[in-house]
Amino acid sequence: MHPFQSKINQTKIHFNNSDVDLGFRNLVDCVLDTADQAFYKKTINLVSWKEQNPDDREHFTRKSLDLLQELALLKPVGQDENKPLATITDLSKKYRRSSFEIGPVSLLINPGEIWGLVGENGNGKTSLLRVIAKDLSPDKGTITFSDDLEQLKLYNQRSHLAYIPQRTPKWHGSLKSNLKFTASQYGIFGEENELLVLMYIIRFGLWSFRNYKWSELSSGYKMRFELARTFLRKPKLLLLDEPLANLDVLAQQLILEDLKLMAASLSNPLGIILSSQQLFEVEKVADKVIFLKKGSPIYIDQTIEEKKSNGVEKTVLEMDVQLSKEELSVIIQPFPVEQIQFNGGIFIVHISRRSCMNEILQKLIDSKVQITYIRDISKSSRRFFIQTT
Amino acid sequence: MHFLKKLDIFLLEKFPLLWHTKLPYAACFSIIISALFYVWGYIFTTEFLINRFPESSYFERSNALLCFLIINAIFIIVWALAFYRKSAVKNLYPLQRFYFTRLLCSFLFIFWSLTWSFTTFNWGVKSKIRNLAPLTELEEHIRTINFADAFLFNNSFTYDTYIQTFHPDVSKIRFDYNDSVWKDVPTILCRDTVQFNSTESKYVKKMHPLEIKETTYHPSEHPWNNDTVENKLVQFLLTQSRVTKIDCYGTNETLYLIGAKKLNQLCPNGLNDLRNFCKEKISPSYFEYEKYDNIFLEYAARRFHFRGWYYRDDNFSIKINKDFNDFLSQSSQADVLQLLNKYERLLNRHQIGYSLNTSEILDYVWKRKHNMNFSPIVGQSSNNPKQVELDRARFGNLENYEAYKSQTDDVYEQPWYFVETGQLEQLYSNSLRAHDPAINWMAFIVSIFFALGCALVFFLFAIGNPINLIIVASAGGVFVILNILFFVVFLEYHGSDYGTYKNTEFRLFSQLMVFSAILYALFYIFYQGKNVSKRLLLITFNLCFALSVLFPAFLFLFLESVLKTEYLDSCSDSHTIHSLFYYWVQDPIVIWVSAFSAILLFTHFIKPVLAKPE
Repeated sequence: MHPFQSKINQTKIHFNNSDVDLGFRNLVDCVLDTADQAFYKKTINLVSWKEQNPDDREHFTRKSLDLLQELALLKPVGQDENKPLATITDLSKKYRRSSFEIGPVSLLINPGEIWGLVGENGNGKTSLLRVIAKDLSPDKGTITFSDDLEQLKLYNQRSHLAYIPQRTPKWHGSLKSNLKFTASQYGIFGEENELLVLMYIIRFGLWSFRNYKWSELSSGYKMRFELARTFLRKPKLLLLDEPLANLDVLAQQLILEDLKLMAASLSNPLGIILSSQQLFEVEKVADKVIFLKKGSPIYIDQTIEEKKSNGVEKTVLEMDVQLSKEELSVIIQPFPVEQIQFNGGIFIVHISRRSCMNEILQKLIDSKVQITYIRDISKSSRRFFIQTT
Repeated sequence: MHFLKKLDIFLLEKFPLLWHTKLPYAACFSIIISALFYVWGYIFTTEFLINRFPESSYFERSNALLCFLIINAIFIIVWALAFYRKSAVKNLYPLQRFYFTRLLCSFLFIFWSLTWSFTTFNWGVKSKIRNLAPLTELEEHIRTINFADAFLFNNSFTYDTYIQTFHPDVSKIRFDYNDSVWKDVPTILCRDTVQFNSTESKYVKKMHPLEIKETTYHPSEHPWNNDTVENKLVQFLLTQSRVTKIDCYGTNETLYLIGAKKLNQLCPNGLNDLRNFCKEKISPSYFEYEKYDNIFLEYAARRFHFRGWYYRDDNFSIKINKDFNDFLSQSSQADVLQLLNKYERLLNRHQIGYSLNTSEILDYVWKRKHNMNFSPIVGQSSNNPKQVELDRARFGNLENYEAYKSQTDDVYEQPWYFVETGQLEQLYSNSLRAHDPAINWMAFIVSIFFALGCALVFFLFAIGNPINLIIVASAGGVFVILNILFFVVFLEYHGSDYGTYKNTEFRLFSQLMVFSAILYALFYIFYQGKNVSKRLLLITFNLCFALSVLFPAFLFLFLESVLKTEYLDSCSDSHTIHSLFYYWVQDPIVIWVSAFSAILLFTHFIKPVLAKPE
């Protein structure tokens, strides 16, 4: 089945399961994939109708499904090319004053792929992103982009490399006028400008805020605005520096989910590199993760890790329990414990056995220990943050 | 409001640059403000002002200048806040074709539009002047003014000289052989000359008195000046001064008498110097004057002369003079009264300050009818300002004077009168200017230069950040000071090498060229360099950008200093043969176009420089 049809089917399932919001976001993605202004108008009309009838969920679902039905009749869209977006080879950057060095980093970024960039503060995440965005020049190594990007002059090349810094700059005027200005700068004029801007406003849940100003938006919506503005630019490579900072958990999940969906766009698949401290959230959406430790990268391919983990004879658990280190040692004594680390609030337990989390959890329950949380970090980059003794 | 919103969206969707620069709004603002200033200029201008102050001073006099500055300052602040809040360049958005050219042109238009209100204010003023004092109407009164003037005040030069000279007794010209010697030698003039002092190996300045050589003229010794008029031998002569070099460092100024065949060759001061060495009378028909087809040509001829506007040309004065004589010969007392009344109405109509009693003046004139040379009217007593002052002091005011006059039987006492001829002059001068072409090209060029300067500054802000620009301004200042110091110090110690103007100019402009070349080379090196600070690159770039405005002028001056030829003549006087570039530098259009082209050429570097990684 063509990916477009799969996407439509998946969207129908969301609606049928009453996941209307998720279903609608998918629907908007499908419409954006078509790049058909007639469907843009229908979607905008649908949202306008919803604004006037906020409680008529059933009717809204029916209208959405009708629209999906119409979409299903369209000729499938999508790009078959799957050439790498960027090939980064032995990239390194050295700061002369502090003698801090990043790299050498080598990456192969494909369209539709999300890379997570994690590491403690001051380990070079932002610098690496800026080097890839050509904001900083590397000392060694090369960055080769796909042919269409490579043949552009530097300024135009950078126009397609969207780098969003952690602190997004303040903007003036209404949210919508800013988006329209961006779209017009990218050669989107007239009615298409209006429709496309509204589509991205809808896509990022900014419909109710479209006439708001910067000072009237919360941090989460500011980030959504930045994403809308960035996606209007139709970037090839999106570089996000700590986009989840200052966002609540729900907003983080929403943005990550949106990024995942947008990266997999059929009409404009793009590569995303996302730096964050929110390891678990990032790992959930990232295909690959780079862990930067003192500037040196450790690469984690999530799919390979999954396979590798089957053969790993070690489990690392992170837990928050109401016990002292000694009491915990006694309870998990039956297991081959290598090491227990305690940082004052959380225990990290290293056990020389594969996938034994359920047994340990059972043991803790049997011992009537109050568990706040427990997580298996054997495959997570979280384990690199742990100081080994 | 709805329309404005629609317009705003239309511009945003279709013409983002116009929307961003707010050019249509700026243009609308300028049009509205200009219209208001036009009305202001129109309303402000009154008959009172026209008679007293030149129209060019009204802008300042009405506080419009202050208002103009405040409004424009507020506009620029509001506009800059609106414009700089968004930046396609700093966001690295792809830029449309000729984006920078269009941006610069937009800036140029916006800042130029700010000068419109100044122009329209003056249009308003001129329009009002044309309404209140139309030149055609004033032209019609020229005859009245000139004729009436003959009966009134301060006419010795015009009427006295001309009437007595040409109508009807030419013999009144003073002539005798002794009069040909000019004894009133002018003040001794001095002139500088540059002389090469071989002992000091320097050029030094020397002052030399201008020697005036006196000559004695005897008509019999100058037969080539003879002319025959009506079978009578005459010599009409003019004086002319000629400078004769005795040697390289001194000159003689000789006053010559040259023959003048026709009176229309005797201008502008010919009549003063006219000497007729014939004892016999010549009929006035000999003195033909140039005829003008219409009054505008007469006016055009008058413009060149410095005297009162309505008798600026001797030929025209002669014409008036002849007309006046005709008038006198044909007119009755009633005609003269009518003339004076007409003159009074004119003064009233234009609120010219005056105090005339036409019947008294007429009475005074008519009592001297037997002696119609009118010298008592316009002669010494009436023209002597001291006498007028004495009369005023004596009688205190007009009433006292009239009371005195009613008691006395002194028919020779001249009537007391007063006309503000200065106001009349100002009225005509303003009316004349009000009829100048609407577009003053020099003002237009100046406003375009102003707009270009502002556009460049704001353009630099559009592509750079304020901190960098502050550093750029400081660095630019340092460069200027360095250049001055380098030039002055070098000249001080190597003065002998740069003694001539050519060498000094060559030295200055070659130095500027070298400094420019160094700056451009630095920019190129930083641009190509891999590990150069981006800030350093941007500062150099901005300096080069600003320099590019002046660079064409520097280049022209440098080429001129290379190509021009200077030579010293046998008297060590310096002469220069300029190259084409000298004239280019003096041509505002060439300078403007070259500066603008240089800026446009430099805009090609903006994108690569901004995109260069740090």
